[in-house]
Amino acid sequence: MGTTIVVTSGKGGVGKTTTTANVGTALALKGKRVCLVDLDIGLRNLDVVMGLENRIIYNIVDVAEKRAKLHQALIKDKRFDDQLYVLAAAQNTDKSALEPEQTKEIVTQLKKDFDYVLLDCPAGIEQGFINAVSSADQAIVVTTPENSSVRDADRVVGLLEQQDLETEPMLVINRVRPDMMDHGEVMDVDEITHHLAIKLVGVIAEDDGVIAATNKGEPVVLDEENQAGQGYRNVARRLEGETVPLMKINGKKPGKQHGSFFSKLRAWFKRG
Amino acid sequence: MKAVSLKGYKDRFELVIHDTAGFAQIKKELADLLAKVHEDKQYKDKEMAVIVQTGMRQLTTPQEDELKKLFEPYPLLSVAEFKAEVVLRTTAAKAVADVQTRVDTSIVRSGQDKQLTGDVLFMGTVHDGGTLRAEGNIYALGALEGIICAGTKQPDAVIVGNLSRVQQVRIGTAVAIIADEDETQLSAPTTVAFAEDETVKFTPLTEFLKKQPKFFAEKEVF
Repeated sequence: MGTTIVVTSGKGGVGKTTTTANVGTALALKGKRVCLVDLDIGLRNLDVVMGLENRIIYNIVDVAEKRAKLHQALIKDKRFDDQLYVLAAAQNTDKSALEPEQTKEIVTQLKKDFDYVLLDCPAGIEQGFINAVSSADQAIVVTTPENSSVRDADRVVGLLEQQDLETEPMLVINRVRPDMMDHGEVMDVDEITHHLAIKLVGVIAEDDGVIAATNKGEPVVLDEENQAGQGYRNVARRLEGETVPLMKINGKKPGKQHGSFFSKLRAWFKRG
Repeated sequence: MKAVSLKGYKDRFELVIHDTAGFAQIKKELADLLAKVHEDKQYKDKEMAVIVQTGMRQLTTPQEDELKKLFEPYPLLSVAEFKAEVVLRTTAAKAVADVQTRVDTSIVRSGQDKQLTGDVLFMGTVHDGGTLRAEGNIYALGALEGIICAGTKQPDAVIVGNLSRVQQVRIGTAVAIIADEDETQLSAPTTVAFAEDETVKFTPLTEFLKKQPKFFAEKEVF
């Protein structure tokens, strides 16, 4: 029996879909069987990020309404040997097309076949959010260092705490720019983690490579050199129970890397 | 021994129901007593309230209703109140709860509205966008942001704590937006917020104790 993890944030555009795609791919790279489920009915994206858009025949609403069997709707990612599948959202309807019970039924079936079922939650806290979280065993809350995003994450953590999750929600801080944190222009990693008071499982650097990879339909974790990809691989390792220290994010310009001894020391303490 | 006795005052009677007497006996004697009072010229055409003292006996509501019924033929006499030296466990528990200071350790997150009864010793945190409400006073040890409302049932309530980072303070119907307040009033490690003339005022705790030394005195339960 696998684990279902909902990836949610409240606020839109903070990287839920990117996180779902990359954490899922990273878990598949570790040899896990993973199914990614796009619950953003009406505005599906996950298939695009995974580069599987052209392969959709049936979607989750087809399965819920018995127009297709679940196995017919699962899209296999051919880059992996039977490890990674995507269940796409419908485009021609909206969030109310699914009931929490229908979502739960599909997820329960998937859990029998997969080690991880990752649910890509729509933005907002309405029906689509309720569909997603009521089927989940665990939750990853994605935020960026922006105050508005942290505020929405806080709201979502409050709502998640009212659900019967197996573990406390986990935090991924996305699009981190160390230079802005060093200048105090945004909350730093410690402040965000302390404020939200949940377990930090990942810090992902802001990196142009993420957008480039997304546009190519190749999750950035497949790029071994990319630091955002590295961040996502670390999230997967932590989900698997490994203890992985937070990595040093290199956001400075090449010439500025070798700062004074004290600035290095300060940076070292900050990243604990 | 008599089951009931009556003491007359200027505008009221005190009816003592002896707590060792049987209820049937009480009803019988009370009916006779009321008839006698009715005939008494001294009380003719005079409206009198009756306070019923039941001593160490707590009457049930049906019993009270039965006794009230005996007064019905005499419209000039009306039961104002039943008084006993004892209270029900539930009444006592509620009375204690009303004056008890509750300890709360929760995190009030953005969008959440935490409502607490009575006075609160708050050891949790309130985040921006969250609301903490208490019927009485709030004594906060934790980090406060968001909106802090005290005295939803008690306009003379106070909030004690570090209020420098909160969004709003509300006491009863008075509201203060912290961004508009004088920062120096909020810079003390512990500030007291209280309402005066429908506005929230802030003062350092030490100053408040000088002005209102009796504020934190023990309260009576009954």
